[in-house]
Amino acid sequence: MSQNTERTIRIALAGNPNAGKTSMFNALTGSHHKVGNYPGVTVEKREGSLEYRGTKFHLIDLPGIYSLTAYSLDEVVTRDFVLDEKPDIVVDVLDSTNLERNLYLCLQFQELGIPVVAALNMSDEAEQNGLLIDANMLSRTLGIPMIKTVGTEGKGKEALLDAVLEAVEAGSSGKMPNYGTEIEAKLALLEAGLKSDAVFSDKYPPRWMAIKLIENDEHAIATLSQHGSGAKLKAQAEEYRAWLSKHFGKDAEIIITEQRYGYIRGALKEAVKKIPRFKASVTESIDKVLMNEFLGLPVFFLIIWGIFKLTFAVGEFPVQLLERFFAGLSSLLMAALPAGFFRSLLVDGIIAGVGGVFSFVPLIVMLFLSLSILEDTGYMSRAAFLTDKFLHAFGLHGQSFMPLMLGFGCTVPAIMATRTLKSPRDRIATILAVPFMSCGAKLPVYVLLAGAFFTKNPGNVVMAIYLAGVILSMVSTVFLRKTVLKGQTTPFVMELPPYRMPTVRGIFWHVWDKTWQYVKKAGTVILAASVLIWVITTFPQVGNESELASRFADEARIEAPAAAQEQLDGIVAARLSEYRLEHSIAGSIGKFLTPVIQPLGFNWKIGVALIPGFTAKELVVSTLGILYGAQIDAGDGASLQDALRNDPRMNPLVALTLMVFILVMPPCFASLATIRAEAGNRWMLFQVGYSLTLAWVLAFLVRAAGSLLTGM
Amino acid sequence: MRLSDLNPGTSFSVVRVMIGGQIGKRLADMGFTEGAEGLIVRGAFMHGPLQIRIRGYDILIRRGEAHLIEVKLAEGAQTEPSAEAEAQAQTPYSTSALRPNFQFLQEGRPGYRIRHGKGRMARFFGRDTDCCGK
Repeated sequence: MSQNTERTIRIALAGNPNAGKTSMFNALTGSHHKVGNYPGVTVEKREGSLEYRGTKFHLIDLPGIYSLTAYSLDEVVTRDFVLDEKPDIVVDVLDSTNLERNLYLCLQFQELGIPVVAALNMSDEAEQNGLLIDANMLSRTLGIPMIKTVGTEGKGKEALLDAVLEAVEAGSSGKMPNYGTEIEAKLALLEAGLKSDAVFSDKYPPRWMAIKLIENDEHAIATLSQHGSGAKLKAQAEEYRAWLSKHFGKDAEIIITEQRYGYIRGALKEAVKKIPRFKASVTESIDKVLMNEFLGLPVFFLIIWGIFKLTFAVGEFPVQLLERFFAGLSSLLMAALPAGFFRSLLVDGIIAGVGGVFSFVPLIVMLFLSLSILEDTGYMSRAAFLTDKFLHAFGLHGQSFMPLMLGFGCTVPAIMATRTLKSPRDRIATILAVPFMSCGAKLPVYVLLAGAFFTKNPGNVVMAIYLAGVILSMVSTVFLRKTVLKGQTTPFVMELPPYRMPTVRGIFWHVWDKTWQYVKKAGTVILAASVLIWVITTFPQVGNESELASRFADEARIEAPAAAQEQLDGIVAARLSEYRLEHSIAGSIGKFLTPVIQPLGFNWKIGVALIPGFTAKELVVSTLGILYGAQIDAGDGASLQDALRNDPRMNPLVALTLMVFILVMPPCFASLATIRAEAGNRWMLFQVGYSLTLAWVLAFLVRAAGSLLTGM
Repeated sequence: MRLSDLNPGTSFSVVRVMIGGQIGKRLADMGFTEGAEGLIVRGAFMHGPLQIRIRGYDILIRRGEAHLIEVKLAEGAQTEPSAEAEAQAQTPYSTSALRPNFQFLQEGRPGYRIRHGKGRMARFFGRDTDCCGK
């Protein structure tokens, strides 16, 4: 024991989804954890540490999985981690109410030749269900120490750590499932062959490798190339598989699965007694309503509507507080600092950009609070069940629904919510569909344009744009599924856990981790983007500002001789900003873009206004305001609408084209940063290229069709 | 008989998973192995996924996947396969069952449909709806 004080025991925490792994992790580590990603993939990695009896423990939370095949990214990550990083021990968290399937994974860890300790988690729930589990007998039969725990209450964690210390000292028990005479004979032959390369068999445990080869596991077969006589072994394994499937009349991998389940059955028969309880399960009663063929969907929509109401009603107040805080901060800096680049950078660049992003934080917190509750109670799987049929028709997945709905609020949390989708292809399809849902920031742009040019029924026009977005997202997904995301859709095979009471602690950490990630990732990128936008709208500076000011003042006095001095000042300030913008880099870009946007009927001012639209869509409105020299007093958009209407180059058709363009154009930088974090650089760049092209083409079609029909 | 042929409330026993590769292995891993007994709890609206109780837990699978699992009725189970299920049982599994499938626009609940595969939507979307209309 004395040497333990110097070294750290590395525990890999594994288990099925819904087995209470996360609450076990939280119970063991408390708040000492950090969230990151496994290298190169977007699978979340949580690490934590603790000290117990003078020994340091380092915990790595592995993704929740059902088996150690190469079926999903999560499974590959888990097995690579165990093989490459060689943790000292695997602690497998088992759902005691569902041992049969949970032990299936546990046995596979045992085969990896690493000490395994199992936590019989949710043992309280199992007892309530009338399951009497003899942990000692189960431990002896399977050769895996079994400790009863209740992760949500932290019960049994000391006993679990004691067992871990003991198991690390003792090493792997060496006991493993027996697959029957025929298979064992073939396994022994393969093992002998695998051992001939010492380097290889040191990294990949021979017995595990032999089983994987019989199971026809792609990854295992691919790793054979590192083996000295890999080609020979590959042919050997193929021959054995063929022989076994002929002998048993079914595929070799299926026989292995059946043998494992048979082995588990045998162990459970002796160690678990079930007392029948004649009580209708709570879950079943709730599901009679919530998953009812006809009631299920209406109730689901009611819940979604409630979440929206709650998020935006409760979230609105802190959002306003934060906005006021940042407004106060700007005016404070305006007063405290001398006029110049530095002040302008701080106020117009950083605070305007970063402050805008931080103002969304309360909404993110509220959304993730609601989502975590739905997730932890088990309702999420039910929602997927209810919506899968509809979404599958378009190449999405039942679990895509929640992100798509969230997209109407804010694209950033919506894209983060796609993490519930396990298959990368479904996830990327959903991520690419989300931006078509008009987010909250696009609304002011629609309202401005519809209000200015469709005075009879602006509401209907805005509604039509929203609807167009929904239809586009579906059409676009069908298209992407046939092209860049080609391939079979992943099967919908999903566990339906019983309803469980979420814990405050679990929800808190979930919300905290997600919010912190948003603040950190979006914050850094937004900061950079804000500075960039500030630079291109500020430079190059116009030299003779006072001269210009007096010129504008003269002009204004001629145009509006009756105006009061205050009004004149306003007009001059607006003209000045217009002039500055026109001669800035952004203005040059806007003019440079003219050949591209001319076919859409956009003038250079719209081109300039679209540029900050990449940082945040609502900035399109304020930039147009500056460009059209209108005074945008707080909350008074009327003057800008008048100015737009008075521009001879603007008409309802151009407004409609612009709305379509804004609907489809790439989402804001914060969203793009999130797409990059979730799906990688390539998909972010694809999203930008795809949506820009699509926006242009669609806007052009709208313009062309409109011109033909109306002659505008 | 396939798992997708059975009505909710039916108990069954797995005979075999009829597809190999990853999907077959996954279904086996989740507990669909020979002799495993299960129950169809319910199906989703508009021919959506099925909720199946097997090995002491509940799992959701699409009817497309359920069609890949050969089952027999558990002893004492009482049900008759629906007419449409019998028609489907003739068709071998093809990957088109997993492609975007507009069938749901055309079909209602089993028994409510009058002309299968000849509606306007079916003619419009053509090939995709062919798999079940023979």
